[in-house]
Amino acid sequence: MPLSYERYMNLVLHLDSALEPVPQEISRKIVSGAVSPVVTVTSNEVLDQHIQDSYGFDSLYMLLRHFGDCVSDRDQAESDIVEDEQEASNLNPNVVTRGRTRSNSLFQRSSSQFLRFTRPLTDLIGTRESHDLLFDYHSLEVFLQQYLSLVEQKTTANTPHVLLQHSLYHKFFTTAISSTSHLSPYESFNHPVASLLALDISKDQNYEDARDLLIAFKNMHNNTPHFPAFININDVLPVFLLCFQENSREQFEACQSLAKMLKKQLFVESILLPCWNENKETVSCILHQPVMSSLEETMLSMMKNDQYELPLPLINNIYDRLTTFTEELMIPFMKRKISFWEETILQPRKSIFPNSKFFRKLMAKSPTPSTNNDSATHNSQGLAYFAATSNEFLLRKLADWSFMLSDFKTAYSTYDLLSKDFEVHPEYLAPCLEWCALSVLMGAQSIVTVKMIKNDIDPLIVRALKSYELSACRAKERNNILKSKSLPSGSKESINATGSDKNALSDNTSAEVATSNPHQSAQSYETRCMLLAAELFLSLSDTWTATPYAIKYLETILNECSIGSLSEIVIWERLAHCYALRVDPRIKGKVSSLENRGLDEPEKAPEEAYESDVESDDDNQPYEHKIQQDCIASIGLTRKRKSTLFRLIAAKKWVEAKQWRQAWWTYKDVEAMYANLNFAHRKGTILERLRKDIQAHET
Amino acid sequence: MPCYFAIIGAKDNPIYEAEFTSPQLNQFPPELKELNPFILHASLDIVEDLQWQTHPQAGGNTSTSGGFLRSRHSASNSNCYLGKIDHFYGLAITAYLSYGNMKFVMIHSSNSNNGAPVQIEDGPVKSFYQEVHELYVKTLMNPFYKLNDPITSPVFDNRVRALAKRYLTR
Amino acid sequence: MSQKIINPSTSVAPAKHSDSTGYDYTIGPQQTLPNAPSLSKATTSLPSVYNESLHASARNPQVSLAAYAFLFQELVTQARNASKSVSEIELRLHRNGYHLGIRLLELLNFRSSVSPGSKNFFKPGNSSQGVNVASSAFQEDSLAQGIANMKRRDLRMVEILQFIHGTVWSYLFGRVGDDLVKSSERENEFMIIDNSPLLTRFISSTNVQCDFFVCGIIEGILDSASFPCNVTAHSVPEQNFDQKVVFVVRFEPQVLEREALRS
Repeated sequence: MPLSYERYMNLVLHLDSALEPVPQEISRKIVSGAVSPVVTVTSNEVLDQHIQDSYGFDSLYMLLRHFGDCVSDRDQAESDIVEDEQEASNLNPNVVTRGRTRSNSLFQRSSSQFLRFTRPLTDLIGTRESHDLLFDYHSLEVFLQQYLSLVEQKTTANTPHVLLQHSLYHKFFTTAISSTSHLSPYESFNHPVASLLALDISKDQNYEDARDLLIAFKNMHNNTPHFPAFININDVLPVFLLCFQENSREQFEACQSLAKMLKKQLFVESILLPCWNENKETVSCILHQPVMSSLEETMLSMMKNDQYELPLPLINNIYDRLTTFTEELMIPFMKRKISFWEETILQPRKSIFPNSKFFRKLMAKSPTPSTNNDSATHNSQGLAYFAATSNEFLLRKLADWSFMLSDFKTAYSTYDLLSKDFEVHPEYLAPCLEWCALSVLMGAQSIVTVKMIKNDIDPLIVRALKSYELSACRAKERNNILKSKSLPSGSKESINATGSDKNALSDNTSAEVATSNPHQSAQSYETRCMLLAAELFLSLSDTWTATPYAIKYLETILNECSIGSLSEIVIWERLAHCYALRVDPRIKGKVSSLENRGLDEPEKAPEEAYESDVESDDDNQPYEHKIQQDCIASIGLTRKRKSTLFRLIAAKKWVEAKQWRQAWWTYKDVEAMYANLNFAHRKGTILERLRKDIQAHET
Repeated sequence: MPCYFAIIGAKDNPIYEAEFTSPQLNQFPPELKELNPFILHASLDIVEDLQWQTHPQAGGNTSTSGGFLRSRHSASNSNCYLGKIDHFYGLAITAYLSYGNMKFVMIHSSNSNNGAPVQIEDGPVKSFYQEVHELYVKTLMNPFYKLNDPITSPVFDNRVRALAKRYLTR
Repeated sequence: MSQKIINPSTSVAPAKHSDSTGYDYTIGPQQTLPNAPSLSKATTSLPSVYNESLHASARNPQVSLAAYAFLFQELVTQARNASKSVSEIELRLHRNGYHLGIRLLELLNFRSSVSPGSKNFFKPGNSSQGVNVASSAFQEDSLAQGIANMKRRDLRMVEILQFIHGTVWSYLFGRVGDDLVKSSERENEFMIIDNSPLLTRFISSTNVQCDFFVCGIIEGILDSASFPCNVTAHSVPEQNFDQKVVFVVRFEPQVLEREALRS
């Protein structure tokens, strides 16, 4: 079976693919997946109960979340089939004849559509954590620990490990950059784009129920306590999901007429999903966890270790409907919104101020004193938030959505424009600069030159990091002020809450900012920024020029950010990989493929040929006395030895962390590299010590 | 400051190694001590890169990320002493090349334990290297010495240590 | 041969000195500096190459041509007696030269780094008595102290060839080579031309090319400077120079590649 996005990310469950090369575009795919449009799933008790009875999921959301990630990959459909092989092979041709061609996003140049499902927005707002951390180092660490033990269970010491190690890193990377479903006021990636409102037709839910659902949805901002001002419910596309019994003709007809009515009267589209089938003789598939899910959910599913099965036809049905949903509803909706914002906000601005700093300053100055005109909403702490309807936030959303739709050019120019507006708001400026740089990296295939990296991309990231730092400092100052007048501010807050319910930022948030350590939270954003940048630098084609930047950021993470020890080791290994990639493009052909390290060593370790003894009588080899030199041309244009050192350190740290399987794999690579170097094999060197340690645990 | 010095032959084989520490000074911590040879080995990549750079400063490869590739001595047109070429978590690495491309490399550790980056005084370090180079040439003049063989002479050892005392550990 | 001899520069087994045993490559780096200067007395007072000076005038730079020729003749004879074929003789000569070349590269470059006005003067008399009598006065006498900047390492083929053609030739034969030509046919081929080779001037034309000794020297220099190559000698008698020899230096393609990459 060919390597696919899902198979790579869960390689430990698909060890038969372990010898494949590392997919080239993988980091970009992951980033696309991580910022993919969020779809909330709102269900009702009747439907949830029905789903639980038939399939064992707690709710419709729990079912649908397995169908996130790249929809066109249909990766759930190729999961392990429960029935015996015979039937499975009978069925596969069927799939093809039915015209469902399954694409493989790994090998597609074009941007594939990724999706993420979340719980209903009200839940998201209600369960917001009390801190503003993007990363929770501790749970990330626990996750890694569990994942590593899973790897240890599934593999042996002799399993081919090169791709597995990459997969492990990308697993870590994915989890780190998408570890939260937290709704940030500063960026809109986690804000829902569409909302599925589900109805159970088989249980006779009808137009009334649908209307109630929609009304509840549309009035969410009025009825939900602490509804954040930075979310505009009108920017979320509602779509009805009508679930019915496949065999029942009348239910299908009911669905169709209901869909028509909903469209006519409520102006909302519907999707018909045949959710149940009485025919029990179908093949079932075990579902696997979606690649892109928040850390808490991943942890939860790891703890529970439940396995869900769904009939294959249903899986295919869901994929079909989701494809329709994204292609015919969601993406057109996003495009409409984008072009609307472009026309109403972007164009006028561009025409009025053709890059004139003077005008912008004038404009920036005039509204600030009068709070009424200011699009930024201030809360009691003087913290400025832009409401969802403000031009600034809409522009940000325009950029984010363009990014989601892989229109990196628009994204870049909008971020760039915005960064000038945000100069006085470091907490907005930082993510804006970050994504500005990332959109260049994501959009560029091979056109990134040294100059671009040096003059544009890198400074952007550096500036973003500085802004994060600055915003943390400001938050700290505010905290100090708050603490000094803790009582009065508390009362003020309550007044605020009653006074302004809509426009003001939820007090909840301001309280959070006050309680969480601003440095920590800013740092988690910085870490994400650096991880993303490093990974995308590595994905550039000219690795010689780009890797130093990747290395720089990874080293900064190691030095300055607080991350768990296992995460650190994973980054050490990644550093080794970075150095291994640092090969001058002109000699790439000569240097053996880096991915085959450990397999072919003649390149690195040519035969030792010393000068012959002058007195030697063996003259058969005429030039034995010559100094042997290898790879004269490529000398100094690689960083293999550096890579080996970092791998050695990683091996050492794996041993310290008592992760013997990983330690053994890394050690094997290291040993192969040092195989011909006598100094490394002296008595009592670190290599010998590591080998003894590892061999005591691994065979 | 404690130093670890090695002369590396054409096959990445150390032909001479020494640690310059003394009781008054900080020692290398044990975990670093065992890594030292490997850290030096790793920096050989950069030594080799600089070794063949005809214009060390104008090289397009040199990136702004400090310490990746740096050579301060292109001005003097002398390319034996490469200066500080690499760093590794607070350690600085300097290098020197002989005409037969023997690599003289040294790890400098800082005196204090606060992890502050080591400041390299180029003058004394360069003198040290040049003097060791002279000793090496003398070793090579011995007809019984073969290129790339370990230098086992106690006299050489003593001389090098005396030089280290004079130039490095003050 | 035995290991003992290879231990350079001392006839005393290093193990006898418990204070300082020298470097042991099977153990690795050893710590600490000599605390007291007395520690090293035992070893420094021994005769040693390290007590000699590298200065060009440390020894009489000239030997008589007769001695030179006599030595070379012995070399050839020895090679001839030990060999079964002509090519083997040439190979032995080549090898002898090769080891010389390795040393010449370091020595001559180091010497030319010393500025002529160096304060490190040479004390005559001591060295003429050879290694048996060493003076402690030489202990602190190092040339390196007087060097401000080392001579630049040669990084290009032409540079290193000019070094051979100029510096090496003058050191060995008292004059620079007669010509240095780049082959018009092959990119990697250069020719050093000597109209009247000094070494073989007393050897009448035989089928053994004794100039392979010089080939060895050139190859040794180039190889150890990381310019791997093959050097061959060809007699090209001309009207005025009936012993004219052309040394053809053929660099490995990798050298050219490197130069292209690094230009």
